Amino acid sequence: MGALLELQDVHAAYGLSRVLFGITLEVNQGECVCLLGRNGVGKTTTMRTVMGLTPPSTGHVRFRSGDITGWAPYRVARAGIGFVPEDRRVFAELSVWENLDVARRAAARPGHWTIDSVIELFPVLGALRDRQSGFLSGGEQQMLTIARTLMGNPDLLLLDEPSEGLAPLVVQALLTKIGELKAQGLTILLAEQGIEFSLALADRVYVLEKGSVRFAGPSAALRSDRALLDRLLAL
Amino acid sequence: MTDLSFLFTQFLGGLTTAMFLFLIASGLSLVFGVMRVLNFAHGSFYMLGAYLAWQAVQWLSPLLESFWLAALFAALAVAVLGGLVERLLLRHMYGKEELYQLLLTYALVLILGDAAKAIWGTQQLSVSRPPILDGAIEMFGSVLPVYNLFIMLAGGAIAVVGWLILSRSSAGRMVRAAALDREMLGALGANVGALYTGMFMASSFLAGLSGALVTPIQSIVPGMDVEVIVEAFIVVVIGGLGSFWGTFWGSLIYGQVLSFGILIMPSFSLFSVFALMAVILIVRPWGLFGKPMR
Repeated sequence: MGALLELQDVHAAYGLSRVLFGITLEVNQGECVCLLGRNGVGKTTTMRTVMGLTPPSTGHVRFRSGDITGWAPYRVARAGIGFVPEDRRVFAELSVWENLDVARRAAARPGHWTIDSVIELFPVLGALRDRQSGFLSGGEQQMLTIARTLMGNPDLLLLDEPSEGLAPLVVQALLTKIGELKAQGLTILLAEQGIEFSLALADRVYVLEKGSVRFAGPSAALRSDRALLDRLLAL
Repeated sequence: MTDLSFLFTQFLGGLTTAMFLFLIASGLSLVFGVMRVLNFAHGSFYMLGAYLAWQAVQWLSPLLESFWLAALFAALAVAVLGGLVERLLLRHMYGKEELYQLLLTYALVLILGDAAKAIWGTQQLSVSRPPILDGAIEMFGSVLPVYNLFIMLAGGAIAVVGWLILSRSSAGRMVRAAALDREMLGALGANVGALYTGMFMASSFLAGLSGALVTPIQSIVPGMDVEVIVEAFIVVVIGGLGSFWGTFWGSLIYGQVLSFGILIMPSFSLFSVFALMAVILIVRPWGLFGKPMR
């Protein structure tokens, strides 16, 4: 039984500018794995290669041991990978409810998550059902993007910098919710710059630097070894 | 009193023109709004709809006389052609410079125009009015052909149905989401490529249908493609390209300005519309109902 998601020596580039230089990582069923690193080290690109939004130039992406390298994004989504992008990207002119309905139809993967059950997870969205989503606060939009992706009942959730640009209190609330998802058995690959946020959630951590994996290990190792953490993330 | 009924006649004439143009321009505007493709060949699809309707009437005439069947055939045939154009040609232009799309669709204008001439010649063709819509009715002292009334109702019906589909149906929500963020919609699991093909086919269907419906009141001639695309562009420039209601109001304004402009300046009938378009381009380049481009 292999890992749920495996990246093997993935290289990627935007035009002539190369971003990933041989990323190899794996995420096992039920795990929460964090990609840690500063801006521009390739966290987002790694997720985009998994989704097929930026297909790898070389290397392989495997999901449930099947090769999904080069698949169109919609096929990756329908295979069971949900993507929450960093800049939230709600459909701004659609209402909260419409955003959720579009996602439900798009993925066509019925399961535990329905409009009712995501509103139960994020009650604030229930009160804002008919509000145009472009008018929501940053935190509300972030909850909506997560809820929207859950509508596809993914087996693996890719969360790209969920805490970015949010007030500390909102980040705390979000942390709790993601913790709940993890406790329910959802497998999560999280990209973060914030050490507190990621170490609170993750079982294992990959530290990225300049498009390569600089460190791979259990979060406990980083939590207890502050010096190691500082060295890895310094400069 | 005669004065009033005369004005009313002009108003009805303008309304007919307006609803007709709405049928044509709505497809053009929709494809731009969602796919960001400015389809010059939309007028050519309209012309093909007219020729194909004429052709179908000829084929059917030994068996039965059915204008409606011919119109439906023409609209469906143009929709299929539109689907092929999107799949085989336009698809390769997405995400590239818009100039390439313009060149491609303009090339289609030339190719389809010549093809129509090669197949149907350059003489005028016409189709007789379906018997059920023959005749005229009197309304407040002005005479209105029943066929014109039908066009007005058809345009109004397409407006209402189109708006209901876009705002209330799940397919419409999908289309609006695609217009807002195509990549995100794909990452959520929607096959945006298929959605685009469907959109383009629907737009081509409307163009083909309008072409078929015009045949009982206008003769079919080479050059009708370019004439109509210019009118449709004026409509969407006035209303706002990509805006559904903008296209509707743009058509209404165009129809009335044309209809009453003729009264003031009989020899420059189109001048008033062009003047209006120029003013709008200066004051509000994104149109009455459009939004400024990001």
